[in-house]
Amino acid sequence: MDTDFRYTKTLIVEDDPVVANLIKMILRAFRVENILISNSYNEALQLINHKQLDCIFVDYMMEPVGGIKLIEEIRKSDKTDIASTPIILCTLYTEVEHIIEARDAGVSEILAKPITSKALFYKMASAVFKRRPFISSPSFIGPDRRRRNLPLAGKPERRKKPTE
Amino acid sequence: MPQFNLSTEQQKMLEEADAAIAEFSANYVPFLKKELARLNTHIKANFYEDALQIVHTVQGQAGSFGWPLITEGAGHLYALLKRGKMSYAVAEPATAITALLEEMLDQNLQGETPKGKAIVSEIAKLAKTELK
Repeated sequence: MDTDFRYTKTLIVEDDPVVANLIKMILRAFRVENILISNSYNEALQLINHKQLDCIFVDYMMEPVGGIKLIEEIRKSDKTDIASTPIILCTLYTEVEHIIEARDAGVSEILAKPITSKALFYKMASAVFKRRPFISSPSFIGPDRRRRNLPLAGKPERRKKPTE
Repeated sequence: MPQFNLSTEQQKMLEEADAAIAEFSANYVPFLKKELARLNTHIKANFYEDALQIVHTVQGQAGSFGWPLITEGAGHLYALLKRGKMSYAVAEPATAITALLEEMLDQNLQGETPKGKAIVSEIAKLAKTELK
């Protein structure tokens, strides 16, 4: 898969400066030229609404407003290009309930902490270059939560229109 | 995690990233020692919320810089502090665990050494201490 990250404008939303700099260090090695860092919800939203971003890394555990809330806010944007920005959640918590919470908030990918360059590479490649269809419905906004294209089992297809 | 075969250029980028991390890792130990000292202070003063914050941070960082067992040990300490943050009885096992984490640094037990794993086992046991 071709992964030219040079022009991927990236925002890192992380209140731990060590981890923020780690992600930045790795992104630089991936040739990413345009990297912004924010350690707060409000500042991050400002940047997201005014800069054209291609990828956002969000820390799960931030104070006073956590990463999930930020992701939900981004997905609610009136501007489709902002709402559909690839978002990678960085988190220590990879238990099923947290994965479901993140998935239903609309993350593109989840990057487990402690972060490794290899994991970051694959997650970013997937989020930026293998984007899933974007769903905007009353109950969910975000990349299609289905990751596999499985044939329907059991009863024949009854939907009249293909899903988006 | 879905993966694909890496091109030479992609492999090179990963190697550069790892080299940059390794270079930074040399400075990480003094920083981590200071964090553990701060952690100890908070535990002794019963400031468990502050202690939890430090442990969470250490847990999220250490593995990235070559200390996966510190991440694991910090995870056990986090669970203990979460469980016992309203109990004064948590101070003793928590202090003992912090001392073991410091020992791992002092003995330079990076990576997944048998000695490091043995210390993590000890930490895991301490983390299950019954609190009254």
